[in-house]
Amino acid sequence: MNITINGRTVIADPGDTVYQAAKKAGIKVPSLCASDHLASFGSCRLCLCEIQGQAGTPASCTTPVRHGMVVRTETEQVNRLRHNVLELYLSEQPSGTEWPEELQRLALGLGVKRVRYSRPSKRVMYRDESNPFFIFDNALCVSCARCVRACDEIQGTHALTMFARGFVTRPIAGASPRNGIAGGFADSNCVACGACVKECPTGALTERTILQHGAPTTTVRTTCAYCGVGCAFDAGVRDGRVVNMVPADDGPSNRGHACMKGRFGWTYNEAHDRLRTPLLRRGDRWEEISWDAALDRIASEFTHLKESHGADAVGVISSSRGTNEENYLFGKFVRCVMGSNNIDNCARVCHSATVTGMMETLGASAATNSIKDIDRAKLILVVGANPTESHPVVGAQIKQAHRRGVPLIVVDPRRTELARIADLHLQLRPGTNVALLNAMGHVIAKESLFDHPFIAARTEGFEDWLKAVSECTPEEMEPITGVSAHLVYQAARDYAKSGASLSLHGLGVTEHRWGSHGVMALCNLALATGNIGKPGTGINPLRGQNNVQGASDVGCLPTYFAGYQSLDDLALASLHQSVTGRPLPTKRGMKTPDMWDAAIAGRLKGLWIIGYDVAQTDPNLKKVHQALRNLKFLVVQDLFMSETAKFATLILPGASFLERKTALSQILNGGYSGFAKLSTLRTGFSLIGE
Amino acid sequence: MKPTRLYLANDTSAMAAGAGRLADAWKERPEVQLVRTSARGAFYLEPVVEQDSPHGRMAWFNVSPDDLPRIESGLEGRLIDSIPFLRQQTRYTFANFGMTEPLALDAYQSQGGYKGLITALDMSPEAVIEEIKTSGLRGRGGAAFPVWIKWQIARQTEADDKYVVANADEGDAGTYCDRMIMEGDPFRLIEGMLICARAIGATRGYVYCRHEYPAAAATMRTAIRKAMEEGVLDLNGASFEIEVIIGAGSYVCGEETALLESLEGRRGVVRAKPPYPAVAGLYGRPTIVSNVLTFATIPNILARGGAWHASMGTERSRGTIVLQLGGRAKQPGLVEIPFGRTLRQVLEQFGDGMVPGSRFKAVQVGGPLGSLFPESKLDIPICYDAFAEAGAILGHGGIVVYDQDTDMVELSRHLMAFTADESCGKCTPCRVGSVRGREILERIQAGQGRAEDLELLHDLGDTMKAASLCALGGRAPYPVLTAIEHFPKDFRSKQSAFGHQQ
Repeated sequence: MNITINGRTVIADPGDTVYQAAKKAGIKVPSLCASDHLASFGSCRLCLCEIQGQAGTPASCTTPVRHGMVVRTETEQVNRLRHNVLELYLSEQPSGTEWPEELQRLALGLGVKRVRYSRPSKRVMYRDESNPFFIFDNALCVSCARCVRACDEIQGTHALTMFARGFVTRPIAGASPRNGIAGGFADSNCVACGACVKECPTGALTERTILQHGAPTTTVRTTCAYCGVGCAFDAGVRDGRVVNMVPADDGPSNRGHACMKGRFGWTYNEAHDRLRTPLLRRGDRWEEISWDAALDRIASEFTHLKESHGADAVGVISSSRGTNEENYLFGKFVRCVMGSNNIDNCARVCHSATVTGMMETLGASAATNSIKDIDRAKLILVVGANPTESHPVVGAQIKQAHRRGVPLIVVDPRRTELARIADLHLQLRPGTNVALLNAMGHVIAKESLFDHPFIAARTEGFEDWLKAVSECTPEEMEPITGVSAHLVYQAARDYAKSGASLSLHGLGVTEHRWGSHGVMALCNLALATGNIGKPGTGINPLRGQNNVQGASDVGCLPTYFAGYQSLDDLALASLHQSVTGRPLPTKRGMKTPDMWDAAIAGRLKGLWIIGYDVAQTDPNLKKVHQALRNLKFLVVQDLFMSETAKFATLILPGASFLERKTALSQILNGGYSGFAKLSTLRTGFSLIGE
Repeated sequence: MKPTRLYLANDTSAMAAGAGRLADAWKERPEVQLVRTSARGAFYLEPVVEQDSPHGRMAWFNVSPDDLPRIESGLEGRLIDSIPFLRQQTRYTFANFGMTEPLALDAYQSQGGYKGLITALDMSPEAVIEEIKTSGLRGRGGAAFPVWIKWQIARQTEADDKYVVANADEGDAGTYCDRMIMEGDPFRLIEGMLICARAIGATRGYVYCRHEYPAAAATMRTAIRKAMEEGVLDLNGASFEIEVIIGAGSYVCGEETALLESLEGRRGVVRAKPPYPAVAGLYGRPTIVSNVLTFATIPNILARGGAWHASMGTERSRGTIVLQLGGRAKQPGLVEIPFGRTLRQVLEQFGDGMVPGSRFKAVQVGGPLGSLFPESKLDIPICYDAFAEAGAILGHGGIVVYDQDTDMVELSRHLMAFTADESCGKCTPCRVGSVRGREILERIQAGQGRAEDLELLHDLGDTMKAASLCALGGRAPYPVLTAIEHFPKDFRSKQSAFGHQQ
């Protein structure tokens, strides 16, 4: 609709406020309490305006637009009021110090040169220094409550509240869930996501690293390397070092939000115990050697092992934190140089069941929808995943959807945070996923809650599925799963009838003997009800590592080539030959568990492990350690002296994500360029090239 | 010998005046049957004891326990209807006060109670709203918004639940009519809420009662229980549940959106409007939040017709207003009259001038945020628009009279400090501005006022009026600005530093 602001015709969307319409048109209206990420609040009273036909000076941020509205944001009265309101803000700032930058900026714009009040009382002197990542200083605060609102509306943790009322009101962290004492951020439910720090307009909440090193002078866009969400960040840089990480508003998956890991957990980048040079084992000591010496050693050892014992004497375990480019090269090294398919990655121990189950059912094993579909879902089903802990930004988005009224069903043996707020919590016994999911399928079948046109046009094997679920009545499955039949009926009906049900699943489905079947059962529910292939739906595995999807996508798997292409594909084989000059090995390679067996048996003699701490995180560590000890030549590439590195013959120092510039396939299946830094470290990319 | 039936109010103010002492002294007397009733509202006469007689109720005033023999023998009593303070009123909402036992449901009914509700149940909801529209009823809490418009909007907004909320926070010092209604005629409040529920299609009701009214809350709860037991709360086949929720000592929770926040279990902080509660109020559902007195006025409108209500009062202020006189007036008490009399007439005819030894200085109408009226400004008619034009408010009808001993600087400081104490703290003009206003007045009091302080006070006042989020900050400057306007001498004599350079 058209409205007029300061004589200009402006196009506004219905549902906009006057403030938002002005902002979209590039008209600057001052404010302290307004935020693009938060609901309108109307407390700072700086955004006042005059509206023709309406008395007074309403706040533009809480005034909805009306067709034909005539607004003035700069009148003598409005400017005088703004001047006086800002003067009140300034009057409570401590004397003898500089006003916070934002208030200085506003003062300049509004012509406030001095405070007319004589000896005005000041803000309460209170600092909260309990949190390791940021501090709160009430002296700089303007009680706009953006921090509290961010914790409520964005993160959904509700750790903060405004305290007291009147002049002294200020934000405070809630009481500890353990002892009920309100000691500070560290005692409260705060998860240190930093949303409050980002929202704070005056720096009352500031990162410690900024206080230590100073504010950034430039920013570089990067993607967090911690998990599958792939939050976009603007890394703040000063004097060649990163001083803060601020989540980017236009990040397609995170949209301005982050979690503690990416937001604050990046200082490991400069830890004093970073590996800086290649190290060669000499007894129980490590000798620093040059890169040339290290590379020569690797080349000669691997060549020797291959020539003496064959291609199956050597393998590579690649990094799910590595970039697509690097991981593709590792695959190429194994296939073209070593002549085998002996390469694997950590997907093996987490979502390999997703890979198998989804390949079988859907023909592709990546999330069928994007994170943005959480906004479009009419029902969200979370199976065997705890996103508020493992993928906090996705967890926050699910909570936001739920607060908007989107029903939430959680299938989990634990009473997780999402289970506590869910409309339905199916608290099944561990190991009974297939029984429960097939029971839901049974209800869908029995009550004909299918999407018939979808099934007819898009699927096959429907009759087989009907047969498979015909025995799985909720009543008969109840003693197995421990979930009351009526809950299963309710969940199935809600999932089938919502109009757009989105499923998210995690290791609670995949890390099972029958994990692949669990994934298949889940996929079948989506197929039977048409909850796939359209907005707000789908089967969406929550991948853990930031590039476990990519590592598999570009071929770090013993059973597929890049793009999940078949090793038996003849057309692929001839393409491979013509592009690389080398044949594509057709023999299936060793999966990680096979590598341990082969190492213990003495068949596998050489192994290169990149950015993956198998000796700490893989299952059956006794076996893993035994395997590693038995190898003749173990190369480990990492940022730190990890548990795995301690077993190595040769260690290569790695570059962190803040020191590279390449792409990752994260939950959104998109790429993002990273941050490039000069260092003595080699990225995997250049390394393989040599 | 049949015991003598004596009537004694158990209203809180009457108790404060000594009614409780009488009850304690006489409860063991076998010849006395003490019936506790609502109060007449003539508090300067309390404790009042009444007795039936062939001519009507006889009354004894300012009674002490020793007066019992006199009362029993019927000596020196006065017909209650002969008291000018009461006779000159036109009581409709308060017609039964002093007569009935508050919790006697059948007595309420026999005195005409529930006629309004029965009428409403026989009409369509739209017709009920039309009747309210005809009556011209405007909210009695202070905002004076046309009641029918709110009901219309709530009726038309689609939602799975709708709510009726009685604002019983009555925070203005010197106001007590809501308390009297809850303590003295609780079924009337319930009836008004039920009629509203019928009109808008509400499923639940709440009475948000300030923490400082324990007797009122207890009486309401008992009345609700009795009404439920008698099936009075059956509406459209379902039982309309009413719950009494107790406040927590916050004046700003008398503001409707802060009240809703408190009702939802949150901090009592003002919400920006729009959305208006009639569209999205309690839990985001259509909600009618109205003052207790507003609801108590509704039954008569349905029973006697909107036209009857509109026949009283002025062009744009229809019906009766309930004023609560207090301060240094000789006859403080509750006055129900049609809109239109002047302030002077009320003070003379009902207040009967000043307490002996006091000289009139000023009167504040509408609570602690009301404007001050000096003697020369008393000829203003009591109606919403005349007051609005004068930059004043009727508020909830509180009228507090100040005498020569009231120092206007101290009064201004006190009222500004009240705002500072009660500010919810959300918006800066009120949160900081009220403290700045108080600080300036304190300096003036201490003789440290600067030349520019009065101008600064005016500029600050204009800012708070125009920029505050709600009427607390918006009205806070009026007491001090009207005090300066009408009593400049009080300020000058303090400001011995006039012309003093800071």
